[in-house]
Amino acid sequence: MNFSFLRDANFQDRIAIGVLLFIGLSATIPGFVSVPNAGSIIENVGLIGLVGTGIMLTMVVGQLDLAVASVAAVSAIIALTLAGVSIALGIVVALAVAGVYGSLVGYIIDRTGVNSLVLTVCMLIGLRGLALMMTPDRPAILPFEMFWISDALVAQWGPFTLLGVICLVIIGIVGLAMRQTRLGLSMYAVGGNVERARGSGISTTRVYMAAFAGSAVLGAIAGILAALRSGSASGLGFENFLLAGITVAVVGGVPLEGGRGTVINVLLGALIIRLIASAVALGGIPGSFESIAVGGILLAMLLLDYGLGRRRQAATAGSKVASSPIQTQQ
Amino acid sequence: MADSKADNPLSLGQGGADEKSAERKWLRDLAPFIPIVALGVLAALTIDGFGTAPNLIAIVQASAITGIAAIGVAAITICGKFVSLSIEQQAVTSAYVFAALYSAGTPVALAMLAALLVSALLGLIQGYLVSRGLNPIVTTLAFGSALFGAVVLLADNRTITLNPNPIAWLGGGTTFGVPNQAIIFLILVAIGSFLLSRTKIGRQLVLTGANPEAAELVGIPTKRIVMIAFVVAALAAAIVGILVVGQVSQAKSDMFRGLTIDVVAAVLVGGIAIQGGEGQLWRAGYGAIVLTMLSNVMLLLGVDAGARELLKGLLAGAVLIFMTILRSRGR
Repeated sequence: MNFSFLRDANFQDRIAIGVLLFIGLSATIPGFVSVPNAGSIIENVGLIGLVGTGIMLTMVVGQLDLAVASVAAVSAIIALTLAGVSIALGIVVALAVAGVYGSLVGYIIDRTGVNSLVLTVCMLIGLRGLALMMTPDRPAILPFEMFWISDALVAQWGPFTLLGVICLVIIGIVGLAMRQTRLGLSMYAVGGNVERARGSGISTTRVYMAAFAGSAVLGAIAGILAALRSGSASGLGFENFLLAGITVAVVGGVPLEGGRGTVINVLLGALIIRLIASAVALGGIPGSFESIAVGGILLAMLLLDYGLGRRRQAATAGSKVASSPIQTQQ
Repeated sequence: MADSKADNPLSLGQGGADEKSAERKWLRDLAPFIPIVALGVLAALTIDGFGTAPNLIAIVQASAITGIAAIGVAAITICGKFVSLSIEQQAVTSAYVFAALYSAGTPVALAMLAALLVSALLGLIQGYLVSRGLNPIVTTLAFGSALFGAVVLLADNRTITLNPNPIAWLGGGTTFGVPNQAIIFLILVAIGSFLLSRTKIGRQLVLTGANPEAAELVGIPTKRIVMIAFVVAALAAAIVGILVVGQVSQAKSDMFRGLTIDVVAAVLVGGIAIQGGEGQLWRAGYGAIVLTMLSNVMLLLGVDAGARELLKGLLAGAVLIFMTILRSRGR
């Protein structure tokens, strides 16, 4: 096992923020330190961490997927609709649809050079329409005899729930794959410098397809798990996945220019966000404060990264920074 | 491929372009019109009551709100900063500012001015951040979230109802049978197009989008231009906010649900090059009309709302991909 991430400055910063936040909130909010609250925090860190990890994959290759929330809604509706036949079939079909869709988006981006942010905004609109089409009158509902699945997912073992563990295991597998497989390393190479990666024989088609398929499938898993937990999936559901996922990735120190990013930092980003959300819920602060906090944190992190980037640029003045399509010219 | 932003659209205008690329440019200019002409002809032939004057006026009226917001966002797109994802929240903010001030006894004109000023200031902040190099889409997404939370918090999530409504004539009235919203839309398109093509600032906006480094070199204050583009978009969103308060006599937190998405779709469907540096402002308004017409036709045909959204997304995506391919072949 490689523990080099412990020496990463990003990692140390995030641990420090998380610990300070935890101490501050435990001291000020009664009932914050309790096993049920820890369980709920870990579970939601897992769910939103899945979405953030998916978005991180596309950010690492220098792109950005904005359609995750709509993908999650469509997948969750497919899974719950087919649950009447077989829940396993429903999940497999939903994930397969997400995977094929994501690969197609990655392929189109590679072949046409179309801007990924804008293309995925179109997908966000279209797939949201598809989700509404599939649930014209009422949300898709888990059949009554399968409600044991919801109960099993949220049953507490100490501070853990099955749902939280599933999410964390999947995130762990993605993290390992990013570090240990050829494809994972190619993703960092393409995000770092597309031309150099092409020159060294890496197929950008495969890399973009993998990144967008990964993002779609992880978003779909999060959507399906959240729908199984609540027992229903509506056509308008999961809208907050987009902002939460991007915030988690950016707070997790994944730069928008691509080439870097680790799942551990994304998880810490998710932890920071969920600690705040949980404090908002427990502290009786109006819910709209959460969107102020999340938006404010995201803005602050963008500014921080921008400031750090400038300092780094000044330090290595003269060396040209690789450009990526989502980094706009100044 | 991924470096499509690196090419230089400035070269298109420098003459000496061979015949083939002239032909491509012609095709590219005309491409966005294909869907609307096809749709219009098809609808007029097959659907009773589509081609009548009242229905066509209704389409322009319905597209006015999206259209006004879209021509504002087009300024951001043309200067090379893609789109803003905080349009909805900006419009809600100005609706609340206007309604709250008027309810508190402020004269109508003053309340309007305040709503416009607040919105311009919010646009300026976002424009400042983006002009320093922050990603426009993520920045506006974050800003929109914080802004919406703040407005809902300040308004205590209440609906403000205007009774009596001093600007009902503006939001819902008609002049010679034409809805006032539509007239304002057309006037703003005309003013915007004039500013963009005939004034120094307009040309600087286009150059900034076409090639920011070159624009900087020839002395264009590109950072200030980007800020101006965001202020323009914010003002358009504020006008939308005020007009809709006039129409429905209320300010509500969910009154603009889906506006941002419609605006982005309108900009894309209208055929404004998303890389910036090209495109006319009217195209965004035209995109709004196309989308509204499409919705109108499908509504008449009894297609449900989900399918309309699906088609909207697919159409926007198709135009985007088509334009990108034409652009990369045209080089």
